[in-house]
Parts: sequence; structure tokens; C-alpha cells
Amino acid sequence: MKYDIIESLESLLREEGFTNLSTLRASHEATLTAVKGDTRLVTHISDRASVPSHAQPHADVPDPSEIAVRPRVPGVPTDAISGTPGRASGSGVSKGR
Amino acid sequence: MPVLSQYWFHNGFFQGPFDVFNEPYPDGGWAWISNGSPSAATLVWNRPDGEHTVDLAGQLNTGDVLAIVDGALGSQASRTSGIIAQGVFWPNVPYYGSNPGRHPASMMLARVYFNFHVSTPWYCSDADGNISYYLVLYLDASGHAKGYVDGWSYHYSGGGPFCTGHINDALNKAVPGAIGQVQKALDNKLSLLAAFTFSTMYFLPGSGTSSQGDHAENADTDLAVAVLS
Repeated sequence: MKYDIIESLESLLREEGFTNLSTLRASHEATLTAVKGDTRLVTHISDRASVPSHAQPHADVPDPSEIAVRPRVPGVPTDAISGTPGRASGSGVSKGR
Repeated sequence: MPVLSQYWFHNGFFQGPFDVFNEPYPDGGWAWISNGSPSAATLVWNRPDGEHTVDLAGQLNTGDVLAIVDGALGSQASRTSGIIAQGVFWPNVPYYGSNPGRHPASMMLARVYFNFHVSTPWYCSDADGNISYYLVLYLDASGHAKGYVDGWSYHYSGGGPFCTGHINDALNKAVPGAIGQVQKALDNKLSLLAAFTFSTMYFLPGSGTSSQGDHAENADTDLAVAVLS
């Protein structure tokens, strides 16, 4: 993002007698605040086209072949089609006595 | 001595508050547990003799790990909780949609997370939220317990109307930037088991306690991993 307009605004506001100029800059937006007497001014500009992702898989993970045994979840078949169990039940007996 | 454990989940399987009752019994013997309060789901699990459980939240709420977290946050945010652990099925992990085939659908990841607060200038509301790391735990071919950081997420409310971009920038840098340190902390904790080999690994809700009697815990705030030789 180009901050030229913020810098121009800062110059203009100083000429107009504003003080306490402060700019909070982010990668896709900037917020300029200034004070003149009882007047508090906030100017915000943004070029953000989309909200950045808030969740990401990590790319640098071990090869799946390193995993010999995955942890089980009691009550959930390991080959379940859905990972969000709903109503289900199960039971079993071992062979022999 | 084996232990029969019965879990009553108030809200749903492996979710939220639950009660667990543990009843030890002698080899070759039997045990019974009378039904408890109404529940949305129940689970009965026979805890074999020789089961070792690791309470993830208990293991991670140590000075060294908390110092890593606080160091990663720096001065831009403050931690407002201890380390919390939760089991999350893969389809419920926030970055599932980026590659659903990354893991089996039935797989549970260990979500370790903590709450944070960000103070903002006078023209924005403060932000409160949580930062999560998703861990894959497993046994390698030699039976050693291993784990890695599979991904991360954050969620917060507040920061409006003008400060969310600044907050996102800081979090998008700090959260993935701490993965190496989180991995190191995980490796340190797992190294305590390095001398042993195991054949089976499974998750249990809460602390994984097998102490006799009734216990009230929360599957959204603690998770245990159990291993068998």
C-alpha cells in the first residue's frame, strides 16, 4: 500500500494547526489521528480487497510415511467417512473365552 | 489394575463438560457403573493395565512453555489464559478446507490454545481472542511417541472500526513465526517418553484421570493422550 496520501494529509493538517499527529500503519490500511483544540480527527484509508486468512496449514511437516500409528479416538472407527460423529453406537466381543 | 471408565458428555461426543466415573477391577474380574445424569453422548472405555496418560494442558502449563508464548506475543498483545487443550476432529479444524485430504476425516488433532488481549488506540475497541496451534501426535515405526505442529489459527472480536488490519498483520507474523518454538516445546515434552516404545496411542477427554470415582471435567479445555506398550 502506498502511504503518499497519508503523508500529504499530515502536511496539510500541520499547516491547519493540528497537533499530536499519529499514524497507525498496516499492510493494507493506515489510520491517521490528529488534534486541534477540541477537535479530534481520524482518517482511515484501506486498499484491502479481502480479509487475510486467519488459519493456515504448516508446510514443513513430516512425510506421512513417518506415521506408523495414528492415535485412535475411543468410539470412532478409524475408517469413518465423517469426522463429526453424530448418533452412533457399537459393541463387540473378542473371540474365545 | 484395569479400569472401566464411563464418560457422560453433556453437550456432545468429546465436547464440552462431561462426567467420568472410573472403576478399577482385578484381572479376570468385572466391573459395573450405574448410569449418571442425562447426557448427549456416552462412552465406555476399558483402560488396560499399563496405560500411560499424558495430560496435555497440565504438561504445557509450565514456566518454560508460557515464557515461549509470552515472548512470541511481545508487547503487542498479552496472554489472558493458561494453555488450554482440546481434541478436534480434522473436518472441524479451521484450515480443513484448504486441503481436506491432508488427514483422514476420523483423525483427531490436539488443539492447544490460549486467550489474548490487544489494547488499541482510543478510536478502536480493544480486541480479545485466542490463538491455536494444531498438533498431530503419532507413533513412528519404532514405536516412539512423536508430534508436530500441523497448522495454526487465530480468532478475535473487537479491533473495530480501524485497527483490525494492524492486529491481523501482527498476528499473521507472530503466530506462524512461533511454530518453531512450539515444535521445540513439544519435542521437549515428548522426550520424556523417548526411553519407551509403544504400540497403541489414543485420546481421552479431559485430564485422562483413571482415579477411582466420579470426576467433572471439560473436553473443550483439556485433552489427554494415552499410550500402551
